[in-house]
Amino acid sequence: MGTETFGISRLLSLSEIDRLILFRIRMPRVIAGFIVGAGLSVTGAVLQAVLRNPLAESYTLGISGGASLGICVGMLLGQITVIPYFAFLGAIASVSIILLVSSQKRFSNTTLILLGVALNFLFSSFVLFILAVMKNDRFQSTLLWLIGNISYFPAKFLFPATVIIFLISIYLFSSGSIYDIISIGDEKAVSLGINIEREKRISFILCCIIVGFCVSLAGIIGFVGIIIPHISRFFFGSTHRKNLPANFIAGGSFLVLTDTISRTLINPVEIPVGVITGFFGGIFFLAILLRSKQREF
Amino acid sequence: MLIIEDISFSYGQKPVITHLSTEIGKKEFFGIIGPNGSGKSTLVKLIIGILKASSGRILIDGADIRRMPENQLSKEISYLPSGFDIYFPYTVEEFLSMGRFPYTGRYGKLEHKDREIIEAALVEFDIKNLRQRNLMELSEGEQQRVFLAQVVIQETSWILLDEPTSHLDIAHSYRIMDVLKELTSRGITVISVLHDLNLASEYCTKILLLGGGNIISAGPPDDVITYSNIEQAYKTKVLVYKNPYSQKPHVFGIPSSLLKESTRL
Repeated sequence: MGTETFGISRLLSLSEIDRLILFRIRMPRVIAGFIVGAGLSVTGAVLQAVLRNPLAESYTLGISGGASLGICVGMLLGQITVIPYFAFLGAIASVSIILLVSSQKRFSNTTLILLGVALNFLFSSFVLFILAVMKNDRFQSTLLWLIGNISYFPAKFLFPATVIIFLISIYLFSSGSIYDIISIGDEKAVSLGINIEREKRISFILCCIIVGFCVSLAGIIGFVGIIIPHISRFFFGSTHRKNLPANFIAGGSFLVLTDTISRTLINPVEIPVGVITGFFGGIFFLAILLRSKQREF
Repeated sequence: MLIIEDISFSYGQKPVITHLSTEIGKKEFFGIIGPNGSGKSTLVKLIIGILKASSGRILIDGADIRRMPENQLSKEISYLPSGFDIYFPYTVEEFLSMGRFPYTGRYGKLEHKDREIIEAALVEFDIKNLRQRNLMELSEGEQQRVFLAQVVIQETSWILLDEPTSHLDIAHSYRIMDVLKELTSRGITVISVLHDLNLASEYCTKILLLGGGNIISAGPPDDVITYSNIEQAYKTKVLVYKNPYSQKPHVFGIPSSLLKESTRL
């Protein structure tokens, strides 16, 4: 890793080492950053529509936390290749908890987010417990990976993650009209001929797959799924057919950018990208919370 | 013809509608009235298929709504819920386009014909100048016109509404009711839950008075809006007089301080 500066002249005559840095380290990192940012933003927008909650995303709902716990359990079993499956299962578990509790208690939007935050705490304490018990030399790297960092992922995840997140995103783009209608209310959606149970179930499962891969690649990166959908909505309008593709591109670019900042801000120390997105996202989140008209507490 | 055949529904253990049967003819302006908790909204949600009756069946032109594919039902009946919580700043035009969903298919792509229908509704509901405005920023009267326009854009022969005038002042309420009446003259059947008994009386061709999960009275306003029916349903003393202008029965409530002890219910 580290910081290596490339001038134009050096780019034109790459040494073996330079090639290695550029194509084996930098390029995968940029691709991973893009696909993770894209995935988190698209799932953020979809979850917001389906739950009719502008504060929803994989992080605030505790889905990323569930996925990271899944990863830890997967690592206990020692198989690197099964990690994305476990991440997916962890994500599904937390979505199930959220849906189950909110359907029984009729939670308001803000309370639902509170539940997500509580789940996040719960999962992260499990994660820390497992890591502490594991007591191996990977403790620090695993921790750095899970708190949101695009440099610790196993290289073989990158290709399947990129392909799957891309394909699912295409499917979600094509369902844009359905998300528009679901976002104006279940009753209205039913009367317009949408099988709302089925559409919601499909959406949650697809979002969990994406989040599972995102967390497997980059750990928990918070708030991207809130910031980008709000910005996309502002510039490209609220209809999901337009703003989901915008989320994909803007989210990807945003995370590549913040990852670059995280690598270069305090040279030569690398700050985890989750720290940067958490900082800006936290401020953004507060702004939405203070601006919203609902008084739900 | 819409036939409701012996339907029952309960929320958990609490029965809301018990063995209710009625018929609603074409081009009717059909009002559903009754006290809070009498099952008015539940009845409407059963017809639109949001809730499933535990027994009995609902037929539209002879077809059981439960056997219809969901997409088919959405071409027959449209629905305006009593309240909308819109969390995302859709423009009026974007919101109206959603009303074409039963015809556009999954991708929601609008054809020329769909756009023409939307344009016509923009003119008809006098919201053309609002088309690019954010729906969340409109006044309640304007919003209600947009919501109603979306329902009309769905081009169904049956329109169900749940208290369409509940947030509106008297002028806006009468305007919305005028629009609904105009729709019935075009061959559309309007079925509406109404809170305001006098509005129901003025506009409806037939009224269903619900109480305790079943029908207390059904028929034209003159037969249903009588003091004995209203007192039985709402458990309060009322007077019923005719509106001198329209000759329709109007209901007047009486403050209990003015009632003699013996006449209080």
